[in-house]
Amino acid sequence: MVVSRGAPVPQAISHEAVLRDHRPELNRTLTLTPTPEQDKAQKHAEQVKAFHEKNKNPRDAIKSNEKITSSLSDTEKKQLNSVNSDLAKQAEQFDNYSSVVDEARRTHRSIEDVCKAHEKTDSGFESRFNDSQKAVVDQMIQASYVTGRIPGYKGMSDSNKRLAVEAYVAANPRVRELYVSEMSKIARDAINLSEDPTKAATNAKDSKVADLKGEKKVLLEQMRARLGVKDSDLTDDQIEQMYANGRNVDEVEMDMFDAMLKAQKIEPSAYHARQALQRMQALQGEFQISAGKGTKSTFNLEAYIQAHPADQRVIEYNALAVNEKTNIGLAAQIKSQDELTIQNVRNAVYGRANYDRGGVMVGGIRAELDKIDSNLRATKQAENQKSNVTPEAQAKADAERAVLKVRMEKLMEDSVERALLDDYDELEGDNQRKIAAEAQDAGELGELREKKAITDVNVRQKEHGVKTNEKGKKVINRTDIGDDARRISQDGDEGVRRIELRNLTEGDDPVISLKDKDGKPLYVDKNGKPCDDKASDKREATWRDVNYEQLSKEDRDLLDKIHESQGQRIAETVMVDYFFAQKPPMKGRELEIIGDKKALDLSPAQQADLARYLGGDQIREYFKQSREFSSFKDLLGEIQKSPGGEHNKFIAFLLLLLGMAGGLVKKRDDLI
Amino acid sequence: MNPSLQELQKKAYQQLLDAMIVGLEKGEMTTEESQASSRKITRNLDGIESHTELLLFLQSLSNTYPAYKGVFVNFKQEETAHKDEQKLAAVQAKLQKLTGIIPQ
Repeated sequence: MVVSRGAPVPQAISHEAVLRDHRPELNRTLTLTPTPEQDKAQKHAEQVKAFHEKNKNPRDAIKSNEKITSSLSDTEKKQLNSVNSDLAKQAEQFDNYSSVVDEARRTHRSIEDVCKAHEKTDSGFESRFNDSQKAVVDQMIQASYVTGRIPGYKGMSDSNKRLAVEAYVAANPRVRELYVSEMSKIARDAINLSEDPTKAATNAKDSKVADLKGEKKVLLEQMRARLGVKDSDLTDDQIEQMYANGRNVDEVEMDMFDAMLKAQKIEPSAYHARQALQRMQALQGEFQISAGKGTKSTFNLEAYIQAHPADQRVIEYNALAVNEKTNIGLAAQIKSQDELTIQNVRNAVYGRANYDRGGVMVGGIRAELDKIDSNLRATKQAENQKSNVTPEAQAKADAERAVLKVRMEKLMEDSVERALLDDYDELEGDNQRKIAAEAQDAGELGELREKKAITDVNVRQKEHGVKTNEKGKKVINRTDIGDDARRISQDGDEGVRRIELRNLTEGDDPVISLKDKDGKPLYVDKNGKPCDDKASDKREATWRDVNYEQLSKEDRDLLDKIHESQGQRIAETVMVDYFFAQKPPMKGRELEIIGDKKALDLSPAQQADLARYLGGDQIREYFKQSREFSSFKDLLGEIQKSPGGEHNKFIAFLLLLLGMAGGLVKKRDDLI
Repeated sequence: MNPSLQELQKKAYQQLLDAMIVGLEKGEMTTEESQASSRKITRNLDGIESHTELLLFLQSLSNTYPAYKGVFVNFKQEETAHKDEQKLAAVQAKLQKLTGIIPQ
């Protein structure tokens, strides 16, 4: 294409632009609908923006956006309970406890204030927190995966043990984050569990029995309503008793009739006596008809009876006659005014013959009595029904639960391990960045030797402490960590200087050489004094015993500079490694440990000296306070006052102090 | 902390917050990522001890969360400009010493 000079160069139309339909009415329909994730993010952005507009502080806005670990919901607790009630309770207690500690930490309030605030709307909150706190610490002081990580734990007083466990592990925000969020996942997994067949069968049985009992209650009420009696006149137990011992409905019906009479103050025995007499009279009438005698005066009852001894009616008559005298006496109790009542009771129980409908019995309670009979039989059958759960089905359900139970059992230990490892790695990451920045700054100022020294002194320290090798495996040098910790505790600044000198004189290309300008070794005599190569008791000087004046001025100046800029960091690295090496949180991960735990042993006095060196005046103050702390509530208040990012260090200092507070403390107050 | 570092820190907080909001709105960042990065930011930014450390932190942060890349680039450009000014001033000072001429 030929384009004239100065004319605008036509722009090539992009492939996509050609394909796109530019008619707005069509484009409208092409608007992308945000995904649920994007929608959520947009709403979240609104919240962050609103917070910032209200508070006008970007740091606070970002801080407020940090993720909060939600407490377990009631449904989750229920699900966990279905796996194992004891472990579910432990989970709930830890959740209760750590949520309050978390809230106190986030809102910069004391635990007491948080509890008081909740108490206003939730009575008993503080008491529940105290119970949960006690339960959590009780559990943790039994766990070696917690106590084994705290130096000097065995020598601590009981109250200090509780304080140490709480400060180091229970209140660690990462432990809560990991534990509670994983517990929520377990609860979700528990939803998919098939129902425990034995429990399911029991539940089904209980449910069926409960249904039947409910139905019985209704039937009994209906029956009492038909009879027009109150439940106090005819109780459920009375009625059920009528059915006892396999009695049939006819018998129950009669009992019911008697009970009704009694309720009307008519003695059933009197009624039955009169009935017997009436029956005798009716039989006499029948005998008379059978004898063909028209009138009563010509009929001889006794002769008839004697003449027909095998007649069933005669047999019945004779049986009734036995009690005739008694019955006459009893029947006399029935007064004429009772007749109507008796009739009403009879109608209510047995029903009334409806002659309009061909003599059909209406009313009565026979239908209810039949239903109650069926109900009681069905209830008894349901109660006695044996479980039909097969051992295989039960074993399968148990196995499913066992998997989740094991996850619940191991979760606290796993969370503690992971939290401490993450804490360590995070601290290590921060440290590396600071070292890199300082080395870079020195390099930019042209101080290349100092730059190398800053890097080397820290890198070499990892060789003597905790390092991650090229395979990603952590190597923990307990022997050197213990030596360095003792060196600092005994010699303070001088100990740190020697460690720095060691790190700078090691390796293939050391920053400082222990040789003179001619490349000859530096020597010391048997008393550690500098000497030349002619002395009989000479030996080659090492970083441990070389006299500083034997080094060149440049080396001495460099050492001073490095000590000034890196000394505190080296000492803190030793302390952090010292804690890490107690019981490295490496469960399920590869690690290599050099030396045993005894290599880390410090006497209480050494521990005190280490703490004093590391913390100086601040530690002295914390220590005084720590002895006054009666509980973690007060302690956390102090932690809040410590500068941001210093919590981990403070906790470590505190543990060192608690560890040494096992007896020698009073004698060695001067140390602190 | 020296005042200039404090200012830088404040500026970093503001720019990171703005980048986070934009990232969320544009769908470049999820809610969970914004929460996780918030923790990382507050935990680290408060303890920053030098300008170089701030840059290293921002670089590492933007490697994990690309939504913050712009903040790192801004700070890096400012630092480069600042260093260029310093170098120029040093050269000018040397020149002045050698020639006695005050450069325009």
